[in-house]
Amino acid sequence: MTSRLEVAIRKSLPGFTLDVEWSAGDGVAALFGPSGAGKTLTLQCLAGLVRPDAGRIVVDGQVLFDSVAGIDVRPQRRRVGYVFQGYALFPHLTVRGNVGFGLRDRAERRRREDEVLARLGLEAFAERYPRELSGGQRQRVAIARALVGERRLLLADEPTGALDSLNSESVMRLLKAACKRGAAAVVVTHDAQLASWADRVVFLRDGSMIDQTSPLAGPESLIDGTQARS
Amino acid sequence: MSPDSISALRLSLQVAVAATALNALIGIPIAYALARRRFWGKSLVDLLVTLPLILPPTVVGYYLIVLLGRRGLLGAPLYNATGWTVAFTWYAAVIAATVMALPLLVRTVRAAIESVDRDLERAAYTLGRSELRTVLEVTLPLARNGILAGLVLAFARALGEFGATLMLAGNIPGRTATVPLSIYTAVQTGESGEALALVVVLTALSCVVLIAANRLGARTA
Repeated sequence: MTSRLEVAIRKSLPGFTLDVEWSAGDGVAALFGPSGAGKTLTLQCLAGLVRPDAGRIVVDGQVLFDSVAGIDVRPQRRRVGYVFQGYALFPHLTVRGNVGFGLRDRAERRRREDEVLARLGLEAFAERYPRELSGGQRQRVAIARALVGERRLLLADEPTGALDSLNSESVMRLLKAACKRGAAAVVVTHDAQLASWADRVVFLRDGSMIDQTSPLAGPESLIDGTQARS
Repeated sequence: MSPDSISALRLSLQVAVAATALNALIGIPIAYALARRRFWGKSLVDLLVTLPLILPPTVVGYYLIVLLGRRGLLGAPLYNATGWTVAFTWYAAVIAATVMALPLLVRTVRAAIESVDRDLERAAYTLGRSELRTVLEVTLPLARNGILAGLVLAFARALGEFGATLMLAGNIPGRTATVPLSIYTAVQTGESGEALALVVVLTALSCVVLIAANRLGARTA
């Protein structure tokens, strides 16, 4: 299996140090572990929102970050689709405005918005504002916004939080479909179900990687694993 | 009201509008930098911007003379080069009002910007927006009510400025005598009718402005 994603990150914050090194091939990688393990910080480093103290991040052969070579591609140029925890939808923009925010080409914009809104079943909500949506609808808008455009790397931070949200299987199916169109995907979760469908699982705890597997035997082993570790 | 009072009123509004515009221009970038950036000398900037809030206005006016007066640090080179000095012009009244109003604007806007969820800005970055575009399209629109409240407060403060204006701009009827200065003159010269008229107008204006600010503040929260 060729590595599409090579990640080596060291980042020290007051009272916490993240030090991980892992790689992933085709498909979806899951960062799995208890809260405070450094999962979100890892995603922020991948997106270029946080600068690691040292390390190297390579996606499909392109170096996004290399502390030795002094490379640090700005988040604007990383072509990352990021589903934030809590979704971070722009409250002053409609669903359409949110989904199309990353699209430059005016002529293409409308068509692409419609396409992704249809794919997520959001056509009826295009002109609504985020505050008028349920948690599950917001989740789908956040995923739609991350999928739209030519994204090289999809990052999703606990995407299965909301009550009436898409279940983990549907979320995983969307991510895998995006991977088939050429993106790499990393999902952060403490949901064993979601992680069990990933093509690779990276276990994090207290800022360190404690294990990585691919592919998994099944969700049961993961659930056992969490209980044993937490 | 006498022609002098009417011209004082017109001048005051003119100065307050100009000072508010300058506050928006200078104060919003400072507020953003204080809220979101880490830079060398940040606490010094914070201190300098806040000082006019607690210093006596005459002290601020004194510093402005030291800086901008005809023999001032910046004023002297300007005077030598052009033969012009800002002191005792209506521009001086604008500068004094701007400096005195700046702390109110910066503190209000900074708080409004800090209340914007940082993940929204991060989302904009990942979607290709530069920091400046993000500020214009995400941060400032979401901090809008706080910014408006800050501008209203700055306007009110500029309208009522007395001490620093007197120091740098003087009290020249028709040129630098704003309403607060004209009230002082009227009282000193025993024109109690003029003083009362101007006091009532200024109080009413300030009330309107404060009510507007409170409404905006309530909508923000």
